Amino acid sequence: MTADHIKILEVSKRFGEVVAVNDVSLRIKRGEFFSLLGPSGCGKTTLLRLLAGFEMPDQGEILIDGVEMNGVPPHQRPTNMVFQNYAIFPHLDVRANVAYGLRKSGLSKVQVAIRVREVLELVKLVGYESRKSNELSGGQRQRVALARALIMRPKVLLLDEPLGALDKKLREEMQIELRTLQEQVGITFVFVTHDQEEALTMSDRMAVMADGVIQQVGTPREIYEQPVSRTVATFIGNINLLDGFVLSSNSETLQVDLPIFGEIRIRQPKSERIKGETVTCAMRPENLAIENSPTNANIPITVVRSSYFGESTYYVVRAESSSIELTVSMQNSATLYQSGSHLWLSWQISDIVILDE
Amino acid sequence: MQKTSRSLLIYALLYLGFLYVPVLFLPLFSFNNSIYFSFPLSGFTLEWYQQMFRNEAMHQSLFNSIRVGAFVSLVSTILGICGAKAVTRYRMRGKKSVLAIIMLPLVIPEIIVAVALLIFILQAGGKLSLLSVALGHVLLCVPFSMVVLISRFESFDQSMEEASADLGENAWWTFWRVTFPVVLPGIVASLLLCFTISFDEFIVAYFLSGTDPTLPVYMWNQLRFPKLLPGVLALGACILLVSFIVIAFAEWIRQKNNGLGLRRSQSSSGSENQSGLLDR
Repeated sequence: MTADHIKILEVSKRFGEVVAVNDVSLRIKRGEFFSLLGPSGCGKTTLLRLLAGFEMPDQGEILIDGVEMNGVPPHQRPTNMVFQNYAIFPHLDVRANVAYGLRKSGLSKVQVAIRVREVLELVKLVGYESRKSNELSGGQRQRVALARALIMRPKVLLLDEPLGALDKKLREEMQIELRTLQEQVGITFVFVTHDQEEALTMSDRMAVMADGVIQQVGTPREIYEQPVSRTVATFIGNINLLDGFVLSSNSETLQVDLPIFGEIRIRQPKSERIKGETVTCAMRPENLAIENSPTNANIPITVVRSSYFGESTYYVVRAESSSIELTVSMQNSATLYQSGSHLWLSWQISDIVILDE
Repeated sequence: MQKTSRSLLIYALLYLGFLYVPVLFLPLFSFNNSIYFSFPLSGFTLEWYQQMFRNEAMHQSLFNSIRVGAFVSLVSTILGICGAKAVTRYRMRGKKSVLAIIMLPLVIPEIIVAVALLIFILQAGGKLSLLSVALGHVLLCVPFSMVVLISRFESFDQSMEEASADLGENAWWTFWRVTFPVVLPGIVASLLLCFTISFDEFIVAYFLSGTDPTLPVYMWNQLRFPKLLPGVLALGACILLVSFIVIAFAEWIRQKNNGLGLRRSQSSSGSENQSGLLDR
């Protein structure tokens, strides 16, 4: 048994002129909660549909448990899907919806009833067996869709933006529940979302997609802290980007002239940079801090404006040496700074990331 | 404001009167004990109804019409289901032109269709019979069936069929377990609509029926004999009543099924669709 549960090898899919998925290779581990994150139209849903078998790749191949999936129709794949709009069968009640896939299972009526009961307990929907889909709330429909897929005991559960239609509060509750459920059942989950926060909180690992191409694969922490490209960096959370000039380089470090920050010495990134190149440096707002005195800080700044977010405040500040603006976020246990205040910016060299592009 | 709505009301009443008052003469005169259509009514009688129940030839033609109608509604609806599914579900080349050709009988005058079919059948060495009438009616009914069913197919979410496939069912079982039950109200509507169209269709039936008349053809033949006219009126009144019941039933089915998570109501999308098809 290999650790790679799903192997996607150089897969491409075109719709007419549009290349929805462009030469994508990806390995998903057994029992992993894996997210595909990207803006709408980036090809993440197409990739999921390729896994489900609703689309067949133009090139490349997909293997699940080492078995070639090309040409295998959806009804013969070891995958089940939770659809974006849930696709609950409107003419059937919850019980019949959930038991739908067991027709060919050879189970007796009693066994089917037991299985239905089990999954309804799992998704906390006991007592709703006789309801029809139009008598359920959005969250309940979502649970029916989950139960209907889980009762099949799939090797892989595919989820196409299942929380997109729910309101914020319910969505956050369902995120935790889904994650707990995934740990309980131990099935590999492939989760498509355009919500970066959702991907960060739920995934074991994730892939960021844009324009049909995978930009970066990694743990949420790697993606957040070491984004490789401008696309990834700007898509995930808030980030400051500054273009610097390489003054000198060796295999270990780079000497970069960066606006505002001056000359800095920084670790050489994986794709080695040489003297004379322009590099993009990224830093997260929460890694910068505003200080009252220049004791631990060395950049004089002016606060331009602030936006209050409850637990934290985002400040846009301008370095006094230039017209460049940076975003800084501060926990609100600290003082609130007024616009127009002349203050100091503190930072750490280890929080500056060089993007590969 | 008040004035506008009153004139609108008068307009509506005039319109309804224009539509239905002539029709109401039918049952009225069917109880009149004179063979002439004239006021004042001379007296009440059930004689025409009794006559109708005794009239073997009329029974035969009624039976012919029911048989033709049943055949036509079934065949047209089956063809309509296949066509509507193809049009709404598959990507194919020349879809619009194929659809336009299927819809053509909606706009071709029936008499042209009837003459064309008559010539074709005689040239092909066929015999005029109830079967030829039925085939002619299928030609006329398929577009109507398609219009009703396309709107039903379009208003239900394709991901439900995908969900079924995902849960292990092949295309055939998906059709029976999901598509068919969800589209069922459309199928019932199509069956009723096609039956009604076939039942009261005259021109094609007149040209293509051989010695076995359908009911409208029979009634037409009766009109030449004033003596027989009141019997036809009685029959007309009965048909009116049955049509009313059928339409009410169809409407009830449609209302009952409207809550089934469908995106649009069937009637509105149906009319949209129909006009859209005719535009092309």
